[in-house]
Amino acid sequence: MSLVPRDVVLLPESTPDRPDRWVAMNVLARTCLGISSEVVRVMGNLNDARDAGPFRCWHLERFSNEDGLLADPSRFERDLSAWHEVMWDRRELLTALKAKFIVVDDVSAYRSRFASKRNVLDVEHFGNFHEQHGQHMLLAKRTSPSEWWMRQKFTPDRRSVRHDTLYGAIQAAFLEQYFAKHFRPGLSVIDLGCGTGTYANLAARFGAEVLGIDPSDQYLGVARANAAPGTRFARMDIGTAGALDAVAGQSADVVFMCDALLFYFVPVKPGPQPDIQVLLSDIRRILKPGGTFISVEPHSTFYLTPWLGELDRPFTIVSEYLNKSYGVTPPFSSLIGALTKAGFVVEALHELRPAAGFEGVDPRGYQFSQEFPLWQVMELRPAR
Amino acid sequence: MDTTECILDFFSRSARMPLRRDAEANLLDLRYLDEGVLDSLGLVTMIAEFESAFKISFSADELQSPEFQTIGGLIEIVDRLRVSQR
Repeated sequence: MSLVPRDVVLLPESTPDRPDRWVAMNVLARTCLGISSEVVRVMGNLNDARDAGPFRCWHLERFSNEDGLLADPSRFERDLSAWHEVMWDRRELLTALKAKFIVVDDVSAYRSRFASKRNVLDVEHFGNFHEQHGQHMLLAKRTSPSEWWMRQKFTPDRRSVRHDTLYGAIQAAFLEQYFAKHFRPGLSVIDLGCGTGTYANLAARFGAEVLGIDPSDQYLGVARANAAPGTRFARMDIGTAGALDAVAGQSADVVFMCDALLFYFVPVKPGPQPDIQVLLSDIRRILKPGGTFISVEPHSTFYLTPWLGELDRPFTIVSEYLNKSYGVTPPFSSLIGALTKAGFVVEALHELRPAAGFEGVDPRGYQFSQEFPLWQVMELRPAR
Repeated sequence: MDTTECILDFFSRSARMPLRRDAEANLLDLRYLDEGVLDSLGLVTMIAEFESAFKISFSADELQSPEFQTIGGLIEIVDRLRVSQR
């Protein structure tokens, strides 16, 4: 028997010049379809087949994070003029509604679709954000997810963080102020997972002596080509036992990590996963007494939740927290649990908000992240 | 250019782990995606390389088919496309 699963919500998107538009969204599958009110009526009683149509609908789905990890994750086209209108008979309508899981025939088959993905091209299962993203990049865009990652965060020369995205507006803007306040000449900083060295260079700008460490030769090549005075870079397989042995004990005032710890909780690839305790005990060893571990991570709750509602009164739908099947950030208890187990004390937690100038660049992203922080920064110290 | 030879050659060059060419029958059954033989960059490279070498174009349906997920199935898809897209 066909039914509308309880995971479906209807979101009004009508405007005076484009009336009668709704978005039907399955919040678990993150799929959606644009529908008119006659389709709402059909969904209200699927057993009543008298209305044969035609039914006005719109293709509006897009993998919106294509524009960047911090782009609107709501998965539908915001510009109503870009909605692609179709007229369907009843059979075509039901086929489309089923394809988007707005209507399901077999509830147990529908549930089993949420089992783990087997590989990046596995379309039988939904997979988490990274897996869906990888599939989209490979199949739809024919491009490598790692290439995309570089482009969406960094300027084409890869020397700095793009300021036209929330990366620049929230993360880089916060760190510029934070480093200016806390970093001083002579401070010894280790940037673990430094990538192309953007934040290592930023720290050096305030006089810090920075060692950037990354497992990727490709990223380190860029980092070395753009190295600011006071920085040096080394390749080490962060997170594997013994990988950081070349770094002397009690040698750093600050260990800095950005957008990296989540991968110890939600793996990028199947197979054996790195042990976060190996990493954290290395960080404890490297830190001087009284030193600080600064961890910048996507927010445990709000990262990748849909941006809904009025521009200036946003709301979101949190459909998972402790057990994430789509999200890729650990809940606070897992993250802080791992840190306290390793002997760290949380001294401060910052939930980041966007810089003021960003409202003109991305109003919805600005308003949403004013209310629902997309990043969190923790200051941690080894317990005595 | 022989499809099988060319595809097996790609895998022996690009695999993240050594593949045994002598056990070819097993190799054809290898679920190279599930086994993590190629990373995502390797997959993009593979698609581009085969499309260029064989002058074919994979559709999204072919890329998502179960057949695409084994080396043997991949060879069959390429052989089919080489005929139909000639």
